[in-house]
Amino acid sequence: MLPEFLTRLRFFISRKRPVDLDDELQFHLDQSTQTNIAAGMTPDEARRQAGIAFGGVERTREQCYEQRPGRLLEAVLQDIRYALRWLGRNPIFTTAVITTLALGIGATTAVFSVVDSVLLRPLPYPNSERIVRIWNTFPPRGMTEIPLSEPEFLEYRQSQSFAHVAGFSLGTVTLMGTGDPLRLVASWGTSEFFSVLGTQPILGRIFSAQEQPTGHNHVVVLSYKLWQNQFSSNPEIVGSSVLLNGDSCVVVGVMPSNFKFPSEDVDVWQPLPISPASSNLGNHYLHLVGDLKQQATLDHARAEMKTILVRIEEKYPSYYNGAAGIGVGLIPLREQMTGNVRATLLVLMGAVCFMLLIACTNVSNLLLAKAENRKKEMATRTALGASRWRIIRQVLIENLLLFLASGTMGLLLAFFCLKMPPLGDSLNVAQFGGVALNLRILAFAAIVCLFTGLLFGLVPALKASHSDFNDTLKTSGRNSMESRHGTRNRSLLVITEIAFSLVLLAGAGLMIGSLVRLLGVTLGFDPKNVVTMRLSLPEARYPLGRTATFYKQLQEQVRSLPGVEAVAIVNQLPLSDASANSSFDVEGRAAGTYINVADSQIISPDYFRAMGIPLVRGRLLSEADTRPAPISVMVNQTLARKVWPGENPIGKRIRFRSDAPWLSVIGVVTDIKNHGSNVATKPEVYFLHTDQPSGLWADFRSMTLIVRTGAEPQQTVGAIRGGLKNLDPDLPLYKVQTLDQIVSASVSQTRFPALVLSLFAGLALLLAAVGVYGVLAYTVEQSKHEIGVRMALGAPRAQILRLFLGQGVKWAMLGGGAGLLAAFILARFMRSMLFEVGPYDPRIFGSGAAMLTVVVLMACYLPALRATKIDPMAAVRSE
Amino acid sequence: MPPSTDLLQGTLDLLILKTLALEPMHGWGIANRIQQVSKDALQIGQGSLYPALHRLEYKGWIKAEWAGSENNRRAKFYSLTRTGKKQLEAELSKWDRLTTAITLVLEQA
Repeated sequence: MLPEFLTRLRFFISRKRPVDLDDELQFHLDQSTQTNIAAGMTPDEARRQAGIAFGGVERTREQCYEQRPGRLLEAVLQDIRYALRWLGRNPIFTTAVITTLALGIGATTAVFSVVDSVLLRPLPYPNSERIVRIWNTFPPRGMTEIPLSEPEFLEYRQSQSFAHVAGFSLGTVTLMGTGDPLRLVASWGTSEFFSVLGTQPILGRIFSAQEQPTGHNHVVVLSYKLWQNQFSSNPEIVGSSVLLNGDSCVVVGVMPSNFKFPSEDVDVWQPLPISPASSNLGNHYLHLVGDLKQQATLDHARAEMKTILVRIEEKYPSYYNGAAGIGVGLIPLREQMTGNVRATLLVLMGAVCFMLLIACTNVSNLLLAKAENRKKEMATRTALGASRWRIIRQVLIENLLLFLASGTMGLLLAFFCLKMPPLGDSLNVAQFGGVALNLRILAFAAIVCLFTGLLFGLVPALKASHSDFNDTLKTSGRNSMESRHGTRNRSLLVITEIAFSLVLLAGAGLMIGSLVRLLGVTLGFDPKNVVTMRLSLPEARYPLGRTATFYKQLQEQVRSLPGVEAVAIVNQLPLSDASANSSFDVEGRAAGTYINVADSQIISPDYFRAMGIPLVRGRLLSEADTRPAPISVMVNQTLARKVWPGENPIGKRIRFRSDAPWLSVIGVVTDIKNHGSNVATKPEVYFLHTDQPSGLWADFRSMTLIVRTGAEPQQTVGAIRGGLKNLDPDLPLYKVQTLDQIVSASVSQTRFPALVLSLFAGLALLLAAVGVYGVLAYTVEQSKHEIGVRMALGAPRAQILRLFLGQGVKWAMLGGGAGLLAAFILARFMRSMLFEVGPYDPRIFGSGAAMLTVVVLMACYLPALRATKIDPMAAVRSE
Repeated sequence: MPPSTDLLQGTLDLLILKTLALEPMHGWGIANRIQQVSKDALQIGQGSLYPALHRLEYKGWIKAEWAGSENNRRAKFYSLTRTGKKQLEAELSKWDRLTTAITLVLEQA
């Protein structure tokens, strides 16, 4: 094989001289002539006979030449040159095709790259496919992801299905000694934490099991980002000390840049010490993650964890009394991370495929029309001896060139789309390692390109090669005898386009409907002119006794600033992901876990005024309630309704732990959408921020400052920073956001798909309109003669107009019908993305169909109008 | 016209290789030799002979040289290369297998 290839390569590079072949054939002829002369013929007759015996010299020469290696390549290059010339001579056609396809391919590639990074590419952890998140669940209250307590973790850790089970929590620390104090996101993990994920540090080591009992203050592992930004990628960093929350910690390692667990913004990891004797059942702060052993399945692990949970319940009967129905939930890491983004992405992927199909249909239409116009050219070529395969190849090469050019443009388009920040932000792709154009995506784009090029280019190519050249050449000029078949093909393409557009319109409509409902939700608070910012007091400098004083001083400082109307603090802002639910007992009723559960908010007295939350009953908390001990709380309407239906809640008492004091309800406030516009309000209890223990597990050091101002709130941020500097120059302020921004961000999960789907639907509608216009205009052009005859026979113009508009109506009805059917079938996949809108909302489907019909008729109107303007005399005479 | 037999696909290559195995020859000579040996049963048209020669040359099985012919004219002489000789062996045994198989079928069936 190899020598043969080398020989062919040699001949490919150095050609034989054409003269050689001529001489060789001439020699043959001469020999033949000689033989004939020897047989007794005259020289002339001998030469004639030799020529007859030989046959076509030219044909033989060509056949010899065709044996040449690389002959096919040469022919293809020739075809490409010809195709480029032809495309250059038809700039409008070329631009139309490339723009349409580039849009389709670009959008498809962009969406696919997000799908690739979020759903397809393995997570950047060695064990990623076997990593599972572990939660408690409590279906009776609809709670699916309850963090665990230390005693629960200690039991779950003994599972045989998992190689390791680790607990971790998230929080913030302040880095000092490197310029301005910097707030860092910290994750505290038990000793198994890094083993579960299986990632090795790029520098130093991870923390060891021995470091666990000594507490988390002494060693730290840095994220790549922090190491790069704050320590200028210093390779000698391991072993040096940094100041975290005022404590000196030894840096033991640096993680690689793609290690972003448990969230993409983690800056440091520290050990989380958990005493094996811990009996703190009430504090559910631990998040659990484990890696399944090779031979263990998720179902086995589930069954085993369930038995462990039973063991835990038996061990602490008084705590779990009333928690009947508690369960354990195992969720594979990727599923946990993708959550409802998965549905959104799949819907977008489907939508973009529809759009690509519409784009391809349009292009196919254009190519078909073009093929019709080139019939004569092709017939001439066939008459001159071009084989059918040769013609097909020519057209295919033209089409592939078009699709390749479009593909390249599309890739560029996708690249720029992905650079736009809204895409990454709304889908939270950073935690999957971000979106990047990789080889797989290039391959995807290439396949899409070739596939569409072949599929939609082949039909026109076959059609072009199929023509009977005799007929075509004879019908000079006029080609109105277009087959019924061709018309039907084109109508079918248009109907398909209309159907696909309607599916996209319906999808976009459903999302927009949801978004409108979502934006219309009464939040329960007034987000105008409120700025919020977070700060965390380091434990070392702020023991519990000092935090309340500090926050009080801070609020007084800010309150005195000009333009400030109200100032308050809260531990969790509304619409943030965090939720801290705790069980509580009601005085005079049976005690037990999970009978009554409420979210707890820690606030300062002015919270309701600063947020604009109205009081419904009783009175507001005041400074006076903080001393001598916190004995008063406020609740929201949902809690009051659930716990004391039909009763006056004022004066009733609750407590959060059996060893904590009873707390009186002194007021009821309006429900607010604390967990997002699309989440039902949960029972809430409001506590005053104090330095007295209240039986609540909460971080009293990290608080959000809420400042309501008379005008644009951003302007006061500088003054607030100044006020804080006076109190403590080493405290960083972070997450400075207005409430409006927070509200706006909270609907991005709906707004983003609504936006993208609307964009796709708009483009699809435009493409469909162009398609309808093109096909009808073509039909009008082809039937000029017929129209002329009709008009000459007395058909009024209105009838001609009706004839062509009727064609549009027929298309709209057929396409719309098919589209509605498809939309009904597909809409259920969007169910999880919708809010207060049914997937089969008849009004949305109806308005989509109506809009489509109007657009189709508008697209039909121009060509139809042109048909009525035809001069019958000219049309009939132009024969 | 003498009776001619249609050549089986690929057989022409075998015939050319076999003919060239004796001595280097030009195209005219090859055609004549095949015709003579087959007692006029096989007449190779130049329309297929020359493309076949070129194809074999491109494959590297035969090589061409210009040399003086019997009547002192320059002619293109083809001869087997080393690969060509090996190829001839392979083609011959393939041919043997094929004919044996066909004969078997014709006798038995």
